Formats: sequence, structure tokens, C-alpha cells
Amino acid sequence: MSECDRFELLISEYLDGELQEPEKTELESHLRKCSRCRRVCDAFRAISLSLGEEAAPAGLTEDVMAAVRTRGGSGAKRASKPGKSWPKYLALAACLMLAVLSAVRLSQPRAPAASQPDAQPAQFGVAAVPGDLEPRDAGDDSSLMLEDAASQDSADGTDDKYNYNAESCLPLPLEEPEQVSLLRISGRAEAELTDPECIAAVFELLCCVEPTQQPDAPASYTLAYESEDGSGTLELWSLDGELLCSDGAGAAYEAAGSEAELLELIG
Amino acid sequence: MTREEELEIIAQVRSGDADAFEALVLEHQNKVYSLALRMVGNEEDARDMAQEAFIRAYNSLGSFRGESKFSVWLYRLTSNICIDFLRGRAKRKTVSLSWEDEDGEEGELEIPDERFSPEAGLERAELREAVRRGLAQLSPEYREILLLREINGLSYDEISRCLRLEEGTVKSRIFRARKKLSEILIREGNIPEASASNERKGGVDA
Repeated sequence: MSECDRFELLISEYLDGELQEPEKTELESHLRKCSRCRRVCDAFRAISLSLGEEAAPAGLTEDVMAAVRTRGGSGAKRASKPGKSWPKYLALAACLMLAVLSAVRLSQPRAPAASQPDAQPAQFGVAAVPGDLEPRDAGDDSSLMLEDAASQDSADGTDDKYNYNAESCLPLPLEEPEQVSLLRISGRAEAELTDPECIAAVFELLCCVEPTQQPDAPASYTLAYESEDGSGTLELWSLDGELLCSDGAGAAYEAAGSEAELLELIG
Repeated sequence: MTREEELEIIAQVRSGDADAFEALVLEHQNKVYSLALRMVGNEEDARDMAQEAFIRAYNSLGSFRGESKFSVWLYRLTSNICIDFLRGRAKRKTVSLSWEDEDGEEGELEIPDERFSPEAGLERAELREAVRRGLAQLSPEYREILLLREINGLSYDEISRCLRLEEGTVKSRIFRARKKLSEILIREGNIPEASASNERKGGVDA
């Protein structure tokens, strides 16, 4: 490495304001006598100048906010095109009402539904549902891009601090939750779900975030499911409001959803 | 916006106030868009990338732990989205050349859409255009690290934490990105090879 090669590296640091003394003074005096390095310095500076900040296009904020308001739910894990979610949310709203009503009937058979205050919040639960329930749409460019991003995150493994996607380890406790036709929840709350949207919403909550130890304590909830391929059970623990999920075979993990979200879903 | 104000807004958004997110978009949209623009090289895609970055930031705000600045987290999200997009685009391209950078990493090279005239001087607009084309010849990873520094103004320390690289690696990659870019500009005649500074005394007055 010639002397000038060494100085070139220092020029880059110098322009970034990262060069410390005594190298800073040394470089400055070198630049005064070396035209080759001055040229490099000029070139680097010209690059910096031409990489200034540009104004964002008009309407960007409005578009982002429109998408964000349509989608709702700050705990959501997966984005998709705005607008498409509406019918899903309407369907989900209806299904939530049903779930709440049936849960109310299950847990307190004699309480008149009209005086049951719990029935109200279910409508708000719609906005708190994390994740879009749409199946991945292969024709949708934006969701494809997101999928790519997610797979890259898990592939390079360098990024857990910035791991905004909960799907980097196990995606779901079941390979094909859409096949589940009946989900019976027991424990701290009871509900029997048959609506595919509702069931999908519960499984969204159970997305794996991080593997963990299975707690010693008895499970807070048991989820019995029936699908075309057979039936099975999952156990859920609530630790400080966060859900841990186990498949009963010793594999446990922190789920994406919280107990509050689960209760909102099932009433 | 101070960091405290920003954390306050993030807390509001997390508690369900979607409208509060607007302040974050307004605060960061220029930087996010500029980063996306230099990453993907055209305004239309850059707008899509920026929009996607904000929507994703909103959706995954729950996983932002405040260990880094929100802006650093957001820029990283943006550049990730752009890199994924570029990879997808590289795969789809039928006519392309390959690059191989200093890390031996291969990728697809975008063919410049027009030739550059060698007699062009240091005209700002032309230089910018040339830098845009030069950037397209860097691998997305080199582009990312240079832009996080140049556009987003992150320090070496912030970049090293954000990209999980040693600070020495950050330093040398930024240098190599600049060096490569300047070689392209010199080759294309945008930066005169010998004349620029010879007539001047003291290239550095900063």
C-alpha cells in the first residue's frame, strides 16, 4: 500500500467527520502537497454533494396514512395492499360477535346476553386483530416483496435486533391451520370456534416469535382442534399477559399475540 | 423532533392511535424516500419502497425496542425492502451483466440506458445523473452502506450496529464504495482526471 493509498482511506473518514487527531492534521498537510489525493478528495466530495436529500413526492404521507388507517392494529405483523382488507374485517367483525355471544353463553349460561357488558368490546376487537388474515396472494407484488424480505431476514440470521417479522422461526403451530374445522378452547375462557376466519385469527396470534422453555405451571388454556388430517391439542400459557404456546411434545415458544388479544377474539 | 418526543409518539401509535403515526411519516419521509430513490434508481419504485417501508414500520412497531434510534431502524427497514426488491428485479432481468465486488459477491449489473458524453463537466445535474448510474453499478450492499452514511447521515458507529459489522469494515466498505464510484465517474468523464485541483491551492478548506 503506497502512502497515497493509505491517505485515500483517511480522506473518506475525514469527509465523514470520523477522522481523529493526529491523523487529521497529517492528512490535511498531505492534501496541501499532493494533487492526486486532492483529486480523490474532490471526487468523494462531489459524490456526497450529489447524494443530497430529495423531497418526498406529494401524497406519500396521505397514502401511507390511508393504508395504515384501513389496516388498523399496531400489533399487526403482515402488511398487504390497503383496501383489500375491508371485506375480511367485516367478516371478522361478524365472526367476533358470534364468538363473543357463544362464549358468553358457554361461560355464563344464565346471564342474559343483553346485560352482558363483555359483548360490547368485541366490536373494538376488530381493530386490534394483529395481522392480515388474507392468505398469501402470489399475484400480489407487495406481499411477494414482503415475503422475500421475511425470508431474507431469517436466511442471513444477522438481524434479530431488527427482526420485524415474527415468522423467522416456526411460522405456525400447525402446518395447515386453514384445514382446521373446529377449535375448542378451554381453561381460563371457553369457546368453540367453527368459523374459518375466526380460527385463522387465533392461529395468527399463535405465530412463533421466539423458542423458549416450556413453563412448569399447568397450562392456562388448552386448544383442541379438529382438521381433515386428524385432531390434536395445543397448550397455552399466559405469562405477564404474553402467550407461550406448546405443541405438547416439549417444543414451546413465545407467541406473537397476547392473552388480551386472544380473549378479544374469543370473547 | 427530539428522541423523547419520538418515543412518545411511538407509544401512542402502539396504544392504538394510528393518526399519531403521521408525525413520524412527515418527519422521516424525505430521508426514507431519498434513500429508496438512490437504492432503486427511479422515482416510481422509490415511492413504492418508501410507502412500503412506512407501512411495515407501522405494522412492526411492536418489535422496535428503542435500542437504536427510530430513524436508524426505519432506514434499515427501508434499505432491506429495497435490496429485496432489487434482488427480485435482478432475477427478472433478461439482459444484464454481472458484477463482482471486492467481497467476491456476484450480482446483476444494470445497463446504463444512455451513454454519457465525455466532454460533460462538473455540471451538478449531470454529475447527479452520473452518480445515479454509478450507484446502479455497485452491489446493493455497497450502495446501502454508502447511502446510510451519505443520505441518512448515520455515524460509523450507528451503521456498524445497524448492519452488524465491525466499525473497521464499515469504514473500509464506505471507502471502497466511494472509490469505485469515483472511478466510474472518472471513466465516464464526469470528474476530470488531473485538472480539477491542480490549479487550486489547498484542496481542503473545510
